[in-house]
Amino acid sequence: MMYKYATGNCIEEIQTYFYTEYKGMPFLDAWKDSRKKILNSHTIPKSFSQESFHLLENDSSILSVNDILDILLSNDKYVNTKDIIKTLYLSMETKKDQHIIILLKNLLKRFEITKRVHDVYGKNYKPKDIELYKNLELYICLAEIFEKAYSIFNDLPYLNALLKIIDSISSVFASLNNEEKSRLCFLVENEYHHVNQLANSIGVIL
Amino acid sequence: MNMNNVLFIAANTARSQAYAQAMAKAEIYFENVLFFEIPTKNGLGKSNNIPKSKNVLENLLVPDLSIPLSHTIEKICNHIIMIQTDNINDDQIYKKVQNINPRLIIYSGYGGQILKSDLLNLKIPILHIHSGWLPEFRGSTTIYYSILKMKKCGVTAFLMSKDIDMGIIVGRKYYPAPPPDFDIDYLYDNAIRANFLIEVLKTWNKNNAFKSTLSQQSTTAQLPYYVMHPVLKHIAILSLPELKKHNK
Repeated sequence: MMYKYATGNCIEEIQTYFYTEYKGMPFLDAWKDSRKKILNSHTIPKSFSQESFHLLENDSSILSVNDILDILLSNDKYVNTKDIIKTLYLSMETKKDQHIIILLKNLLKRFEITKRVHDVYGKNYKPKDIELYKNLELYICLAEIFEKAYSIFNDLPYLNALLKIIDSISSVFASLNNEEKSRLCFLVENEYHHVNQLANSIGVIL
Repeated sequence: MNMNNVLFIAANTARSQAYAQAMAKAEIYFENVLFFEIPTKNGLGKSNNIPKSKNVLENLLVPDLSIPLSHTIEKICNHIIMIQTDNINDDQIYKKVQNINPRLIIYSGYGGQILKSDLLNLKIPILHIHSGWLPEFRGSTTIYYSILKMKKCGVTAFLMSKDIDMGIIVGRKYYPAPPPDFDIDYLYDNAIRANFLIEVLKTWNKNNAFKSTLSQQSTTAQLPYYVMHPVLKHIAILSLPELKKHNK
């Protein structure tokens, strides 16, 4: 059986996941095989550190969560998605306040509705330019946010979105640079860990 | 039981088939049913490969999806209003509803559509049956999330508002998880919704009001659920008791 949800280019031709068919254990085996292919096709350099990537790169201009929420409520103001993600990633380390949840909830909603990550967002999380959604690093960044959110909050919507965004990124694996491939491999490993733990907790052996 | 001045709005879906068959069995009759579809087009929620009915759900009518909706509707109403659209927000529907001005609408539309304000602004209560325990299980495919988290499924009757699954709750009930190998999307989900709809309608008709104390749902309580990824859906189904045995 083939795992079809990470084939084609899922960023251009999005998956809706409506009424997906039940195929039993062979489906889960196909999913595992599809993810193993990703892991087997890239060697993570020994020097690569997951925590050293994009977030803290010589950047002193990190916005606060409240700054971002204000921008996303204002007319004619915009915020780069990477700035939202940096702020969220760092804020989630230290606190779990309601503003962080609101920001997370809206990013999750935006991804679930469009299955795309746009470069810049404005009022009510509307993309500034709907054609700007091809920056693959942003998909990796958002996947890291979903992974971290699930690790901290244990809410299924984050794991659900993580599975979908990894499908999308895997479908364009060949277009990723080496650093992005390494980050995807970390995500795939963590995704399996979370799914396996959930399955085990309800008596399903993957 | 005659549902005076109550309008059943039915898209051509498995859910509407389940509702209509349950109404027919319970001998619930309407003056008008508004049936909307584009005959050549399959709307979301209409099954192409009809799952076979397995009449094994205790005390629940399992819908027979091989019976066309139109045949069942003929049994439960005097007048079928046919509208060729697959959009609940179509102006033809709005005008018909405005003209009939029912006391209550029973809603069974196509999946993925959100009611726009026009219909809501008519201030007619629009009853929707959601297969999830609200407000905890808000959103899509909540039946599977509920199996994953609770090993049982809730159904909520509520009056629709502009926000998804946020209206006033008029009743809730838990059902046991489906048996193994039983189609969930088209049979089990629709069977439990139809069963609870009949209970709610009987109560409403008897008391001329909804029975339960009405509670406004909190807008910030919970993250909504989105369409479940097939990996999680498989794990939910495989966790059902009998399948778990086979899995080992």
